[in-house]
Amino acid sequence: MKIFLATLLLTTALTLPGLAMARPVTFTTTLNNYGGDGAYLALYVTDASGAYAGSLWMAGGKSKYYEHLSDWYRATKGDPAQINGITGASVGAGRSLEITLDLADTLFDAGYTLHIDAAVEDMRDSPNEIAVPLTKSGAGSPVKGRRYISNFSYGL
Amino acid sequence: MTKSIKILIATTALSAVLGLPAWSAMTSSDQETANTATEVRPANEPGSKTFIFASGDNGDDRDHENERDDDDHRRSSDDDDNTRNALPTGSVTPPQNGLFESGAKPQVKIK
Repeated sequence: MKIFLATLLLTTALTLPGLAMARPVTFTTTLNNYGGDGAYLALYVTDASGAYAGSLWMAGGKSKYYEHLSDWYRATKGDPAQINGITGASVGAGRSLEITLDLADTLFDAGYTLHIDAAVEDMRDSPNEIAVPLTKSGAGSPVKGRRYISNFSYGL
Repeated sequence: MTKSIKILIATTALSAVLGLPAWSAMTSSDQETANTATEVRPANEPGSKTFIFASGDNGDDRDHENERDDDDHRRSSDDDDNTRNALPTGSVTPPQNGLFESGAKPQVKIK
C-alpha cells in the first residue's frame, strides 16, 4: 500500500507542474501594404530589466540580412543557434503571419516584453517596431506598429 | 487515510486526462509537418516577393524562399557566402532558451 501511495504521489507531483507551465500562444502580425518586398521580422523577448531573454520567431531565412534587424542583432550577434527551428519565410506586404508557440506560462505577468524588429529591402530598417508587455490581460488587444506592421496581437 | 488515497487517485486521473491529449498532440505533430514548415512558405504565391539585400547568392535555398539572383547589387558589402543560416521550422525543436515548453514544434501560417 505504501508503494502504491508513493507511486501516486510521484506521478501527481510530476504531471501537474508540467500541465501548469505550458501555454499555447498565437501571435498574429499583419503587415501594411508598404509597397516593398517581403519583410524580415524578428520576434524576441526581454526580461524585466530589459535584457534579451530569447527569440520566439524569425521570419526570413538568410542570416546575412539579420544585421538589419538591428536591436535583435545587437543582442544576439546574429547567432543562428538562437533561432534554429523557429525560422520561416519572410512575410509579404499586406499579408499576415500567424505563429502558435507552446510557451512557458512564467513569461506572462512577469515583466517580460515582446519586441518585433522589421526590415525590408531598400527601405528603412525598423527596430523595435512593436514592444508589448506580455500579460494575460493584454491578450487579444491589437497593437499598431510604427512602420511596416499594421497591427499585432497575441492570443492565449 | 482512505480519503487522501481517494484524492490522490482523483488527481492522478485528472492529470492523465489532461496530459494525454497534450502528449498525443506532441507526437502527432511530427507527422503533421504540413501544418508547420511546409505551410510557412509563400514561395510561389503572388505578393510574396523575396527579400534580397545583395547578390552573391549561389543557390543556397535551404530556406526554400523564392529568391531572385538578378538583384541590382546595391548592397554588395553583404556579399558573403560564409554566413550560417538558421535551421528552418520543423527540422529541429525550438531552442532551449527557457521560453518554450515541451519541445512542440511551432505552427505557422502566412495568410
